[in-house]
Amino acid sequence: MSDQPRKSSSPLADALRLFVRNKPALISFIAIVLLGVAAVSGSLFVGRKADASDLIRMEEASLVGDRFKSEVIKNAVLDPHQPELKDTFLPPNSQSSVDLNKTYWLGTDNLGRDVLARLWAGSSISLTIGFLAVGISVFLGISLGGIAGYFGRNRVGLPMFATLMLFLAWGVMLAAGISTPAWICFTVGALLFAFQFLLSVAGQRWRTVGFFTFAALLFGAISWFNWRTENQTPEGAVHQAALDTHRQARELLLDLRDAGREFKEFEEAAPDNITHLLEQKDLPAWIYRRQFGIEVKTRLLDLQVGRFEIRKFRSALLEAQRLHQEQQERAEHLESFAEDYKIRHEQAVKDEQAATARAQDFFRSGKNDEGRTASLEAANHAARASTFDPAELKKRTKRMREIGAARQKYVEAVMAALEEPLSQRVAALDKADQDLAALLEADVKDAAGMREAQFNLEAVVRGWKRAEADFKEAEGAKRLEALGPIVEALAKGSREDAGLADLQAEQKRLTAAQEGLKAAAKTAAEDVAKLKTIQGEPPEESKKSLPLLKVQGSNDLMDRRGQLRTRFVIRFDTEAKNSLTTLRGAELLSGQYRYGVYRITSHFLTATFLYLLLAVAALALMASGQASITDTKLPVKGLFLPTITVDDLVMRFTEIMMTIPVIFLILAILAIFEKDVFITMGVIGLTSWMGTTRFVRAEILSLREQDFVQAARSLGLSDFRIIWRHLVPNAISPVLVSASIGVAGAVLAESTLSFLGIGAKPEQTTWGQILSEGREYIFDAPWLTWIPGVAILITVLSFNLLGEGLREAFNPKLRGR
Amino acid sequence: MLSYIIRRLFQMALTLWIVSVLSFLIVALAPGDPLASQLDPKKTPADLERRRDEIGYDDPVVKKYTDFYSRFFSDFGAVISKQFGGGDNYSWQLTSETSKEAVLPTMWRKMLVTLPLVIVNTLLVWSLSFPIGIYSALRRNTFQDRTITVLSYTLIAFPGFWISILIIGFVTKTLGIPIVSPETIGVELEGPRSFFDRTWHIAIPAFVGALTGVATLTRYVKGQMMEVMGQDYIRTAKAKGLDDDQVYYKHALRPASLPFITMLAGLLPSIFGGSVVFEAIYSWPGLGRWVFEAVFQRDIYIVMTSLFVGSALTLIGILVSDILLSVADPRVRLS
Repeated sequence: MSDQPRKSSSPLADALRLFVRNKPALISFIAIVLLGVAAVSGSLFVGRKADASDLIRMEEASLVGDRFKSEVIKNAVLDPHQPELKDTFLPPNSQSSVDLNKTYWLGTDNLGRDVLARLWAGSSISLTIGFLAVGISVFLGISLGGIAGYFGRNRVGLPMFATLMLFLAWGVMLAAGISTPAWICFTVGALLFAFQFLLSVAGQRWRTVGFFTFAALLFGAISWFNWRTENQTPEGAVHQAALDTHRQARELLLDLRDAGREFKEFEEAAPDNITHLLEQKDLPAWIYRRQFGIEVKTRLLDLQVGRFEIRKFRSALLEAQRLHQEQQERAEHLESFAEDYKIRHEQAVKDEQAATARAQDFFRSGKNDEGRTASLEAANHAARASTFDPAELKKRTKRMREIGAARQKYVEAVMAALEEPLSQRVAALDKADQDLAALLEADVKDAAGMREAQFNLEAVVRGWKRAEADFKEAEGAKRLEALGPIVEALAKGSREDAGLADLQAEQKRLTAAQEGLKAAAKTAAEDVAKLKTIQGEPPEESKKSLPLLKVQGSNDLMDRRGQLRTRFVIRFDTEAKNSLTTLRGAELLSGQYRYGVYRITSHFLTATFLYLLLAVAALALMASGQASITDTKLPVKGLFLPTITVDDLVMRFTEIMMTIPVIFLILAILAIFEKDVFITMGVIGLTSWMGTTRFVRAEILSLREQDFVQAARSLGLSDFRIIWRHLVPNAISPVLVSASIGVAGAVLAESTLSFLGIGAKPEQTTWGQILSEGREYIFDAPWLTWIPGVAILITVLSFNLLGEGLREAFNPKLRGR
Repeated sequence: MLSYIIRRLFQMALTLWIVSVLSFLIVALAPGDPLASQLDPKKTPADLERRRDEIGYDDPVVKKYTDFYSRFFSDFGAVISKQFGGGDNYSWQLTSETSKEAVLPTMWRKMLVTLPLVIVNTLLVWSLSFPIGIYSALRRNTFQDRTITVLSYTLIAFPGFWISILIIGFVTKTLGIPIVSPETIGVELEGPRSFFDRTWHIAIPAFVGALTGVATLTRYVKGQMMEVMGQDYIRTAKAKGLDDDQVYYKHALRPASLPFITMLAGLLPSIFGGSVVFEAIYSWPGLGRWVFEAVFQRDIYIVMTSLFVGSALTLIGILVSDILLSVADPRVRLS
């Protein structure tokens, strides 16, 4: 220290002074600021609307031809997506062969895209990801760690905790599409909530009542938001229709599965005689009923699909309308370049004249080669002049507008024209729906009829059996009758007579037997005919073929289920998940999503974050004792005895989260969603908060015991005031340090995931992605790997050094470590 | 001690149960059908449906959960009984949907592929960073110390995958040596040549993977060492006239290395997930890559098993390191 008196003794000023003296940290800070400026300006200059997909561009191009497409892209000053195949694999600091005024300072890649532009655009995404991911993890870390540290010793009633968990489970399950258990959770949670609310009113704990009201309001707001997203938008309507259809298809599937199982059991128990079959009661009726029920339900489903298609069509029309409006806006955007065009045009004209003059000079002085080059240059400038002709621009934008307006009119006309037929069709569908439902009802009645028929069948069979028995009895009687004369003859003792009588008796017996058989055959034939009318299969034949039929039937059933799954379930599974954000291109891309992913990204993310916010807020309020009813003066106090300390609650959860291997967790979560860099960001943030939580807790715990906090508490300051005025300023510096180092980690993690090909969409340019694309050309174009690699290195290094610098500045004791 | 361990084991079981529920929620509720990737043309839709019934695709969530864990523990029991010479005619219940292999034996095989890489990596990290860290702490604020600090910062910031592809590019093109995959493919090597071939293939990924680890641990060792060196009893020891080596290595290093016992907890699960990126880049058919692929093929059994086993290993690592710490540090009491 110098001899001069110190100007300021505030710790912040000291820290600043120390920080400024730390050269690496200062340089890193400047580098980070420059990067930040580049990131912000990059997203300004790229001149591409954030949500403008390539499809819109392609549509524009198809409107006015390829020339226009390249114009539009060229107007964006630095477009990282501009492919210029002529300029493939140019090394750094080389000139474009397309535009002589353009230099690729960092070279081009395999599609001739400017690496500098891509790097620039990537800086914006990579830094955003880093900061937001760390924002999430720091938010969670500070709030959970702070709650655990400050309110750690408070106890939370288990009913309260259970309510929170039940509501969380409800949200998670709804998001995952399991509705019944979700609603059970919701109901139980709501009952618990209402119970506690009433108790706190009865106990006159008005702060608790206030908390409950606040929580209920917040919860209501979130639910309203969800409901609105899911129902009130055209996409939401389609989504809802898809969900409905999917649910129905799934029910049908489960129905089929049950049928299949019954069938299988039946098959296993199959005997090969008809009596046993008949003991199984109503087999034919059962098959018939199952088949018919499934048929009806499938048709109901078809109707549902028809309705879904109509809704989708309507929504697509709305989308088209929106697109055309966007087109108008783009035309305006293009017009805003008019001044720029004028300047460029004039410049080009000037250049052209100059080049022409030079060429003429060269030719005059006999330098033909130079002359040719100059005239080529002049031609180039002339081309540029025509490209940037303001009049052309005006014409083009005018045309764009006209086309946009015409298309919009067309869409409107289509909508107007179709509105009536569509609603008629919907009405017809509704009617068909009702008819089918009636049919289904009739089927139930039919089943009763079938059962009756079954009884009849059994009666017939019983009759048949009785007839058989009768026949046997009759035969026996006849035989006795026939034996009579023999016995008589034997009694007479006449051998000859006996022999004659014997023969006669034998003859009689035969005729009688023949008659009996005839009668029996007749009844049997009648029975068979009867059975045929009822069962559709003669029992004699069924004896052999029924087991075979059953096997086939089971096969058919399974086949049907497979068809049903492909026809409805899989389709509507993806449809329900795809419809919200990607109506535009879902059909084009559907082949890519064979495994199924949640593509309702933004909706899901928002919901998750809101729920997190709610959970943290509730936990904080709960922990601070505002909502505790454990010490209520009510006699039912004993009910709330099971408690858990806040510290245990939070830290056990943190430990559990630390137990799961992070890389697998990230992979598993990322596999659920469509590739998107913002999902990656959320996942990195949600899996990296545990360390922050632990050290914030430790920090708060040690601060809490210090004298100044005790003094503040003895003065009777509120918890809120102590936290904001005394704890936060003291605990903020380590958080800043860890945040700074966390940004480095997040940037690295994001680039690693993008490098593995799971981080970012193809059209989202991040550094990891550039690197991963350049990996294939490591021998032909090494700069494609070097440049983004060095960019990542510098960024990560800067953030690390900044963090270390901050740590030293805030805590001078640590210098030189 | 025993009662502590028993209590900890009980807590571990509870934690594992919650982890199992959480990981199940994340993995099994994800959309997607493991049979959707079934491209066998001989399979009719009916066959696929039968298979779906077998694996309980349409089952309710709770049944799926109990099914999975009963199968897992049955297989696990079989693995254990095989270790003690149990019967060989056990039919594995958890099988991969894509490769039809039993999950647990495959996991064991894959782990054996990963293990050498992890061991060499860990050895490099722990044997390099301690000497460097201590050296840097003892020569504080000298040129060597500053060089080491700058180097370690740079190494921490190095994207490992980037340096890997640069090295692969350099070695394969300039030196003409293949280093991708655990051994040279398509060449039958025997005896010592095979050994050296494998060593060479391990060396580079292990070394590159160790760079960040060495840098981080070096800085940590240095910090710990310096904190201890600032303590009063070190000054006393020096004042007593003990020679430097005794002060540094006996009085300072021992307490300084205590916190690293806690870091041992991470070694056990690092066999598991530590090398996904490097296995992907160097195409090692190891555990990390196996899980990485399974995640994207919706092979739920593999993903769930690895999440569960990884979590269990983490918990065991923490328990072991806590016990070790109490053995090494008399100040720590288990309670």
